[in-house]
Formats: sequence, structure tokens, C-alpha cells
Amino acid sequence: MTTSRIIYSNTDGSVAVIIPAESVELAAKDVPAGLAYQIVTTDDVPSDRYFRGAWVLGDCCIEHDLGKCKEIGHDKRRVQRAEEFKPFDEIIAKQIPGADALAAEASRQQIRDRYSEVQDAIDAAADPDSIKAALEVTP
Amino acid sequence: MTLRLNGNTSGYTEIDAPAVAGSNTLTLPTGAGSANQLLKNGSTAGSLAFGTATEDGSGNFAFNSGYGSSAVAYGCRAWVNFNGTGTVAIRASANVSSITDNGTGDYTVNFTTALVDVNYVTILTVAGNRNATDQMVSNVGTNGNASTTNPETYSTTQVRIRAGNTEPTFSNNDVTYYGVAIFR
Repeated sequence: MTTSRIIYSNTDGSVAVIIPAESVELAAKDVPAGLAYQIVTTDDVPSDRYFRGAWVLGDCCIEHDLGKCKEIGHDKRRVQRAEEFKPFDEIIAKQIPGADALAAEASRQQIRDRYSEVQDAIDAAADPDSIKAALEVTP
Repeated sequence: MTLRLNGNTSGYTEIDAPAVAGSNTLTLPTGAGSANQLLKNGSTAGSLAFGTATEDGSGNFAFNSGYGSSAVAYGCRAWVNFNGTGTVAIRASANVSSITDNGTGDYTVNFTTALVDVNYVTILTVAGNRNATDQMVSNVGTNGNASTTNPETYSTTQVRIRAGNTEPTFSNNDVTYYGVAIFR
């Protein structure tokens, strides 16, 4: 298996990475017509795909667009929060007999407060790692 | 030494030994076999025998292999198995020149030799790295994708595939392994 990779920027600014099956020469045909490309190695492509949608082609290599990282971070925050809300949403929505709706609502408020702090931390983040760290909140 | 069989009217057919050292004996089958049967090495190397697999003269290859009887088999024209997390890498493939990593859970499989048309079937399997409460979904080619405005691809030279989760809304998701097989 080759460790060579072909990278190029799409017209919308997103980065595509071609992974050759055998040879990079054969795989070069798979670059869309008219787009410039570079041949790099696996060392030049981030192995952390957490912010894959924020990859952009810089002057020399793949970089992260911080604005896009924050958008991704907020999407992940909403998903995480929805997952934590789920059990309490059930109690409140279905008015399950014996279940404490007030306690459920209090728990939901705690979750809201916690993720409000996460939201602020993401907005204030200066780099992708800070966004990732902000999302590592535990109930 | 060459064995030459002269034709009835003109020309000839020769049977020749390879120009290498060593001695080999090939023993012909005991019978003439059946129509379209393939000649193969028998259970003893060098003893030729007719197999049960057949080729009908039009390129249709038939065999049993647990099907119950010998029947024409239809080929997998391309396949690839690749890692979708960490350093994305092809683990094994055939008739695939490359895969293109378009983004999270979003790849294009590029064929070495183009397919005859776009009426092929794409089988996509995904394994690992999913949220236990989510439903894993996969999309192939042109339709059925609710998450993007990107143009889709289902052509004789490439097919685009996606994997994602449905909860709380559809979103592409990286999975540990992808398998793609093309049948036609």
C-alpha cells in the first residue's frame, strides 16, 4: 500500500484527499478536471478527523478553518445536549406516572446551564483543540 | 521437441514444451467430457480432468460452489474495503484506482476500468464507531441524501457513498470500516 496521497481544493473550498489503491500515478486520473493538486504523504494529512469538515488547503498543507471548526463544535454540542435531554424529555412529554416531572425539569435546566458554558467556551476558543476540550463535558 | 499435427487440407497445429529445464508429464482425461466443460488439473497434479464449471462460449461462467447446482455466476466488478477513521487507508480492493475522501463519512470510489453502464448495483457496508442509540444509514449515488447540496455521483467511472447517523438529525459520521462492492 502506498503512503502517497493526492490533495486538492474543491471549488467550494473544501479539501479532498485521494487515497490510491496501488499507485499515485494511476490515481491522478481521479482528480476532477481543471483542479490543481499536490502529491503528499500520509504524514501531511491530519489523522484526527474530528474537524474534517473544517479542513482547508493552506499555502503548504492542510489547515483548519477556525470559523468552520466552531460551527462543527456547535453542531456537536447540540447533538450531545439532545442526547442528555432525552431521558428527561420522555418523563415530561409523556407525564409518566410515578416519575418526578419537577426533578426532570430541574435536571434539564442543569444541562442547559452546562451547555451554555460550553457554547461560550466554543465561541471564545482560539484553536480547534480548545473547542474539542470544551465539548468534553460529562454529566 | 515439438509435436506437429498437420491439418486435413493445409496448415498445422503444434504442441510445444516450454523452454525451461525439468520434466513434466500431463495425462489427458479418460473421456471427452461434456460441452463447455473446462479442462483443469485433476486431484493429482498433471492428470488433466474436466471440471464441473462451464463456460458457454459467450463468456458466461457457471459453477456450483454451494449454490445447489451449476449456474451462471454474475461478477463483482469492483470492490474495496477501507479504514474510515484515523489515517484513512485502503485495506484491500480490486478494480479500484483510488478512493476520494470528500469529508466526514463521505467518499467517492473510483474505478480502474470503467463499467459498461450505470445500471450496476452498489452494496455499501459500514462497521463500527456508531452511537448505540442511533440508526446507521448509508447512501449511495444520486438520491436519498438529506444532508447536503453537493452534486452526487453515480457514473461508469465512480460512485459516491455516505454513512451517517439519524439521531437527532441526519449527519455524516466516520465509521471504522467501509465495504463497497459493485455488481453488474
